[in-house]
Amino acid sequence: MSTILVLASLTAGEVDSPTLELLTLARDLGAPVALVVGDVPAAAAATLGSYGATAVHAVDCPQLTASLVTARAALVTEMATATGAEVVLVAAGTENAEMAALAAAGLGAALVTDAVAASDVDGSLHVTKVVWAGQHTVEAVVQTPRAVLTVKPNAVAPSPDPMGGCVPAVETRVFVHEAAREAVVTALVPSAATGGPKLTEASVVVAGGRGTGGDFGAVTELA
Amino acid sequence: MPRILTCVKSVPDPADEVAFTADHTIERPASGVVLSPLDEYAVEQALRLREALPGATVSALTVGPPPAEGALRKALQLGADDAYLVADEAITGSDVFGTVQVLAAAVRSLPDVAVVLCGMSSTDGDLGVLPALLAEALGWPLLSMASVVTITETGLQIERTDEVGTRTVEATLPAVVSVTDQSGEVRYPSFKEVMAAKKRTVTTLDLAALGVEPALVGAGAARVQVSAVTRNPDRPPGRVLLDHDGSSVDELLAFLTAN
Repeated sequence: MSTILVLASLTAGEVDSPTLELLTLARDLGAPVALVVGDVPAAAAATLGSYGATAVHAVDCPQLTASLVTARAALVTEMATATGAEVVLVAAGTENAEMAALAAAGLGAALVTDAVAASDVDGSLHVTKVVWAGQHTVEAVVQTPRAVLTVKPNAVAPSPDPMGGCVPAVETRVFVHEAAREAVVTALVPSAATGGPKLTEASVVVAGGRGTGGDFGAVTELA
Repeated sequence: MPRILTCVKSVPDPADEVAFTADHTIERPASGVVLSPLDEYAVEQALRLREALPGATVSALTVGPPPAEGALRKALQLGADDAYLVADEAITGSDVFGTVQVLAAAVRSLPDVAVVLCGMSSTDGDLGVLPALLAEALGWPLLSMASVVTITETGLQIERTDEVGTRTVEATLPAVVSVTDQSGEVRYPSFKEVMAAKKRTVTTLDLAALGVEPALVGAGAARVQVSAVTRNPDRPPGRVLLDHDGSSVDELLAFLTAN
């Protein structure tokens, strides 16, 4: 069975919803293995297991903060090779698209960004995406032995693994990224968290206009 | 004499309905292709860097069939000094990995390239990953998705805002930079520039000139094959409830409950 490496994300120690979607999709394609950059608390490992992760790799990298995208890409490439993964699944996004492309380059793998569906058809990986601002749906077939996909949020309905009961063991390791001449991140101002779901991950968006007079209490309640 | 090289793409006019050929590639008619709107910001940034770097020149580079020259002509009108078109039948149907091989070979073939500038993504492919792959192919640092570009003593510094937050990133030259639509207003071509542009040269190169193996690019080398493209039905317009007397609240509740 194919190994599907899922780049799992935790927010405040909890597995985020795009990750649950990726694990659900990964189960259709093969045996999911979760990769977390950083620590994995026991409760998160249990959640990953309940959504089908057969193993969890918690990998830290001292060079991450100073690297724009190359260290994370190298880490994912290394883990994809180490786990023998045929497919790498990552949540869609600007940051992740660049990283996925570099990982695909490193693996000699195909790259599909913003996928909304994927399936194994007679041993070939078929991927669906939507292009031209939603006007066209494209079906494509991967030509290489390995593929890296970024998957749009809310494209897959997350569901727990009916057979997933065991908490997978968490393997930790440190990845050291050695770079030649690279860009260096010298400062970071994190984006302020509003405490609600991310706009790109929401399935329903409720908007308020001038009539609210600046008070969004009722709008938030409706949402 | 540092050369600032801007990669540009000729794309179907985003305002038009896109058409696909029998082999599922985008139709790129000779008329109806424009300089990708996001690439205009890259050209603008190149011109600003030229103004700040003594002795610098701006070159525009594109890969595509002969009509792709249109994007180069527009770049020249905006103020680029010269332009290069890589056109070769064997490139047809290339994916981003193939395109990057051609671009990297072209960059390496030109002397004194200090900065390669790109737009944040093309309006037809919309992947946004070419700059990262190009930097990797050249072995140069990547300064991507910049909203601000500044020259420093040691090279370039950018500001980038994305899901993570706002980061300041620095690199020595030569480097690959991509800029977003927040990176500054694109100037209007002056009449003087438009007239001067007519005399500037577009040099055409092919794979043989660049030493690129045809087998590494084109549809045959593409890592994904498109099997079908279907037009989706237009979304029905949303319902608008106008409220004069408060009755729309019931209508809205009924709609929300039903859906």
